Amino acid sequence: MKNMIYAEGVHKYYDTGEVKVHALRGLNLSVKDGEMVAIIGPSGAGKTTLMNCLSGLDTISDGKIWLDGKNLVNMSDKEKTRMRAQKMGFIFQFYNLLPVLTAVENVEVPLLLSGKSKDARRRAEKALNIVGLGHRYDHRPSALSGGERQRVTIARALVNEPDIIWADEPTGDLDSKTSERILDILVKLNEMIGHTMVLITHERDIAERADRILYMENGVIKKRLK
Amino acid sequence: MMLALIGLLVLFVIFILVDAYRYKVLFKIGVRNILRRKGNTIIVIMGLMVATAIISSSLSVGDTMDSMVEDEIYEEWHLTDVIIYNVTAEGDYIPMPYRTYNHMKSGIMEIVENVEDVCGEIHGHLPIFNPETALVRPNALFIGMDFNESDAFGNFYVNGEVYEPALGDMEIFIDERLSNELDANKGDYLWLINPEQGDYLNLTVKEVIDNSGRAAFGGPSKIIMNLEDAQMALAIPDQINFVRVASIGDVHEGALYSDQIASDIDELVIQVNPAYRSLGVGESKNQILETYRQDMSLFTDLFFIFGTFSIVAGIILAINIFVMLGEERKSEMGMARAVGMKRISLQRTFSYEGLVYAIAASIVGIFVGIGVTYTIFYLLEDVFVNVGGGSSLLDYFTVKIESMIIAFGAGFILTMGTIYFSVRRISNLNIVRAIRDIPEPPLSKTSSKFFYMALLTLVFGGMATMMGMRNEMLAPALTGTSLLIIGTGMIFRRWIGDRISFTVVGVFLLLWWLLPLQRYGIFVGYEGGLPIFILSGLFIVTAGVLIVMLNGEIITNLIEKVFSSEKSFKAVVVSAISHPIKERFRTGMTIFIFALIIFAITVMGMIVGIFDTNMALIIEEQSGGYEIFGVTMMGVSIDNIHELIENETATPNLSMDYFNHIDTAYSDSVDIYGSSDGSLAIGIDENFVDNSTFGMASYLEEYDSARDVWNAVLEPNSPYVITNAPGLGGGGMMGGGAASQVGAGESVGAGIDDELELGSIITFINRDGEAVEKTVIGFMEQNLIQGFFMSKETAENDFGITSTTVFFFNVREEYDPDDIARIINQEFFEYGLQTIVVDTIIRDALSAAFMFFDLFQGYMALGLVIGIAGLGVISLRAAHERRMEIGIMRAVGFERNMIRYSFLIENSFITIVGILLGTVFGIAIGWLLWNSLFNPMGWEFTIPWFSIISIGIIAYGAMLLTAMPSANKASKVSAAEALRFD
Amino acid sequence: MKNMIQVEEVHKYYDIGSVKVHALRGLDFTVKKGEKVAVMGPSGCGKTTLLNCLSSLDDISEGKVSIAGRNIMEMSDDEKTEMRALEMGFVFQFYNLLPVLTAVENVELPLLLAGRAKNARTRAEKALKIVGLGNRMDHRPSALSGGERQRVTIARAIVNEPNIIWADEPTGDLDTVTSQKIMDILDILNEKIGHTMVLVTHEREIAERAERIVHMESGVIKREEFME
Repeated sequence: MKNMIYAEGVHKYYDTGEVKVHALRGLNLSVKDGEMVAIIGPSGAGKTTLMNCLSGLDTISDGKIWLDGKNLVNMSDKEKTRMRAQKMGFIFQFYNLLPVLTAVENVEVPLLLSGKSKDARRRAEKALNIVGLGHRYDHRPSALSGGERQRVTIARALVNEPDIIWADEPTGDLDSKTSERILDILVKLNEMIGHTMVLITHERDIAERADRILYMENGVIKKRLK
Repeated sequence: MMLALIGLLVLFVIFILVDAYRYKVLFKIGVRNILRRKGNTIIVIMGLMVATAIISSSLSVGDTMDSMVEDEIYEEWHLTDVIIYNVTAEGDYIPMPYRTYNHMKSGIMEIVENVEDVCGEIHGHLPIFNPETALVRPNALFIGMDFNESDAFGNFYVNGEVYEPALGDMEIFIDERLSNELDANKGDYLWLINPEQGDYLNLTVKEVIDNSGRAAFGGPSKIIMNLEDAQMALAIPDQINFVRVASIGDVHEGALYSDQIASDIDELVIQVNPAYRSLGVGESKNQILETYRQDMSLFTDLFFIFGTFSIVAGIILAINIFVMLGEERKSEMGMARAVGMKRISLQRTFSYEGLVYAIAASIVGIFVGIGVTYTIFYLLEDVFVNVGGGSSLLDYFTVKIESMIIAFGAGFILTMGTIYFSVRRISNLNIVRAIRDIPEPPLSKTSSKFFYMALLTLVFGGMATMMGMRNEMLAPALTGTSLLIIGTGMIFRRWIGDRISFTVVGVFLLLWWLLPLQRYGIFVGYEGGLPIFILSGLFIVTAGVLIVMLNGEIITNLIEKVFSSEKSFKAVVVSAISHPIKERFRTGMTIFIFALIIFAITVMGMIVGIFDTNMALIIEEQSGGYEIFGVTMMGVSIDNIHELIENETATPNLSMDYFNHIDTAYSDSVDIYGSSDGSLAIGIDENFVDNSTFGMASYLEEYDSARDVWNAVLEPNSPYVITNAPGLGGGGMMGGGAASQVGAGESVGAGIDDELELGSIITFINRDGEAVEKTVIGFMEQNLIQGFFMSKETAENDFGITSTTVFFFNVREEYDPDDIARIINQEFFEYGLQTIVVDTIIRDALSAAFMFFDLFQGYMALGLVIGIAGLGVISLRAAHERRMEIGIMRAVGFERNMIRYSFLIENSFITIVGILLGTVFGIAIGWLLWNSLFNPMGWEFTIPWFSIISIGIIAYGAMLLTAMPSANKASKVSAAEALRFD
Repeated sequence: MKNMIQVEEVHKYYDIGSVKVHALRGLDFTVKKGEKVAVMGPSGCGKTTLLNCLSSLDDISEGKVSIAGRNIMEMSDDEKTEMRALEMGFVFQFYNLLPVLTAVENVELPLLLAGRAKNARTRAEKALKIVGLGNRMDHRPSALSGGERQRVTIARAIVNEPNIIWADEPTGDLDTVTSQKIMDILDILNEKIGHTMVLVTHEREIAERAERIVHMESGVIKREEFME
């Protein structure tokens, strides 16, 4: 099976105020197509930075990254943005949804942005049904619970049938029962649909649900835990 | 008083500093916060300084005008402090025998204190003609004086040097203006014509003197001559008709004594001896100064009132900025509260910061205000010089220290008030939410604080309404009732929610202010005025903003439907618009500022537009179809003007070819029983009635048309007269202008009692002493010629008036009335015929008014600039606040450009709503004004689309400029950075 | 030993938008004087809310909270503020320091706010030396690294010799190495000074340094673990 994600010798520096942080220190990583990988590690290890760089949201200072055979470093911002709209799904810990749009409008967004507006509404409704929120189409995020919001986010993440889904602490803000349910959905969908998934977490229980667990510390992948 | 204010301010600052010393760390935090973000600090100061700037600007406008007027008065009066004279109804000076004058003089010198000297003169207006150039001034002021009588009244000057006057017989001085008008120089001959006598004096110009010093009195274009020569000119030998009194003080000090001298002369000298009654005390220097000061202060007040809108804008901007600052610092404030800072202490830190802002802003404001005034005068210099009659306001530009201190004090207090209000809002935070940066929950429906506010509103509303009703004043009545409406809404929201109750409040307010209440019997006959304009703006715009903000979803739904085709853009548009709809308070305030100012500018534009459009109509009304009016002096009759004009020899430069027709009227002054002022009787004929198009403001019901009314007046033995409409009359809208054109001291007709009604019977006393009763059956609209219009026959039979002294010229279209008028003056100077060109006078008067409207609009545009800057600031803050959201948007696939457009669209939405609201309401009020004031006069309604649309486009363009930085910043948000720290 | 902190049947409700959250559900809790307790649990279990309520930053909806024998619900806002200034120290994950004050000014702040200005500066300098920042006293927070900022925060938390130190994810924003250093400092201080400490964290390694770990879930205490 081919590599969906391949990173080699990745370095990333950034500034916070007067201090310069060497966040990624020569990191190497590969993820196969359809695999669900968890990246675990203590706070400050650089997990979020890694995901931002791999997904094209951020640029790297040195090294190589290929997504589905395409060299990310050579792409323009516009190309990367388009790629995100068409081929990726994102789930963050919070602030996922645009507060001024309803659930179904939020889910539609990637389709509208990649020019596939024709069936957008229908596909969005279908996605919401899959995550069990068919009755909450017209609710704004403020009227949904934390778990429901994450489910809407998941629906949005897969509405455009992405190649890669990036999830950064997707259950971080939820209680344990809801966390379980969310993870169940994520795992089931991964099996059903077969997209590649990179899941970042600091909790071992959650990481255990993935196919493979990578331990990250101080800007590099230290070891494989599973 | 000034010292008290300064003292208070100093005390206040000292108090704060002492307080700060006690709370050093709080003061430290407050002050250092100012230096944190230079950009923010500058914007805060800019917003806060507006109040001071407007006040300082208005005051310096007032001071400058004061200074100009004062200087001019001092210059004209020079060492003269009191003048004594009397005039007839036509404005001629009444003479008294020299001997009587002499008695009066010694009486004054003996009895009245502080008098230095007295002198007697002859003042008059007669045509002056240069036989060589054929140039004439139909109405030149000449002053005859006894050069040996007194030297207490100042010197004469030629080219700035003191000049010793030595006039021989028939020698005169003229000033530079007259010299230019007549093209006459030293050594030339001039003819001073007495039309009544049909005679003239052949005078030699001894010297062209400066119009200053003793010669300045009476204004430019004058002749100074020997007393005897002047007496001869008027055929009143051995008499004088004008007395001057000088006090012991100099030019400026004299004003201080002038009132006392004037009243003493009146009481002790004039009233005591009936022989002096023919003269009366005219004015004192101080009186004149006071009168002009009052007029000027009206003007300053107007500036200030129009600046109020800008002040409101500035205050709202300042509040917005402060609240934003507070939100920015919420987390650290929460932490400070956690480690032990009391709520009051937190307020203190903000107050200290605010104090520094207030002081800085007030100082900056003073200078900005001065700059604004200077700029306005500079830009309008041309207009002032042309219309205002020669002096440039820039020369008199004055800044008084007292005014600046007042501006500082008032601005400072306003600023501190604004800061206090903002600080209270900020510091009421819940610590936990602050640290976590969670937004505050909205005021709950059952909040008791809100309930008390509602009650307070109701109480104030009730009080204001009662006060308005008792005193029959619209301003408090309308304000009070509006507050009652609002207060009721505030109470009901507890049960029916924000949206319904305040939408209803909004609708009610709109109806209340836009419907013609008087028609429904509400507040009939109440006194209105300029404050109504401002209040209407405030309440109507508030209502509009309430309705829009509370029902925003309807708008977003509409827009969604519009954009449903272009889907990827739809995401951008919908998200862009939903933001301002959600942030109600912020958005509402911004829309309010825009709408309010555009409202005010639009209303003014409407008024100017209506006048402009109806200019032709106005001129038509005032002119009756005649281009030129003519009046002879001294009751000199031209019985055969048509023949004279046809006659080549008599009037070589005129011919009847220039005219369509010329109509004539008799006129003379008449006394009215029970009135000390007389009036003018004007006898007209059929030609006049046939040819003229003078409209009637109103007439008795039994007549079917204006024509019938005139015919009734023309009937034999008619007991009827027509006069000018009262109210607008007494000088009239244009009356003042006409009078001053004709010449100081002369008027075409005297003013009329305001209590005049249709059907009133006026009792005249004719020159035989008989009482003549006439009934007023109609009111004319025009006011250039004022008096009682009757038939020539009535004038002759009942009043013995037969002199043809009033002329109506209808000039053929191809000729310029101004040119023709000049020729008429020249050809008929020996009759003392003066002309008014109706079109010119009215246009001049209107353009002066338009100029002031422009000024006021400029003042208010300042506020618009502030509002737009404010929007830019808020937008910048939003770009920062929403960086997480922007990060997610970028992650999910929004391109940088789309984010930029999203911000621009959001700001566009706010601006467009504000502009639309302001424009629509402005047009509505403009229509209401037209409907109640101008429609009855038959004026046409018009909307000045070009200027309205221009203003909208310019405002929108300015917004784009100021929103660009924030849109760019938003587009540059790095998703990674934003999402890196949760 | 006396109970420094005593919590009985505490309930806490709050609103997020239109959703009402029952964050604490009849919780009982005690901490002895000088004890070092860690509170762990998944996100949303209520541990931060518990900390906020105990430290008087937030009000409870029902129940009773006593600090050093006093019922804090009967205290006025100003009384609670003064109590915090004189008897408590706070170390949070971010936004700890006022950006316009230098390190030493930040540290002396609680003393100044409580009106104890007399030796404030000296005590602040001493506290900074203890955490190893004697040479950074006049630096503003923006000139300090994350770890240094937390150390200043700790210095501030001890400058008033508090009875209780409240720490909420004190190392959440730091890298692994610095985190360890910060925890070391806290441990040393706790030994030397003997204050009571309540530490909220989601990281096991951090929690294990306490004497007792309290596991929370869904607004109640599920179980307790005793270390050593």
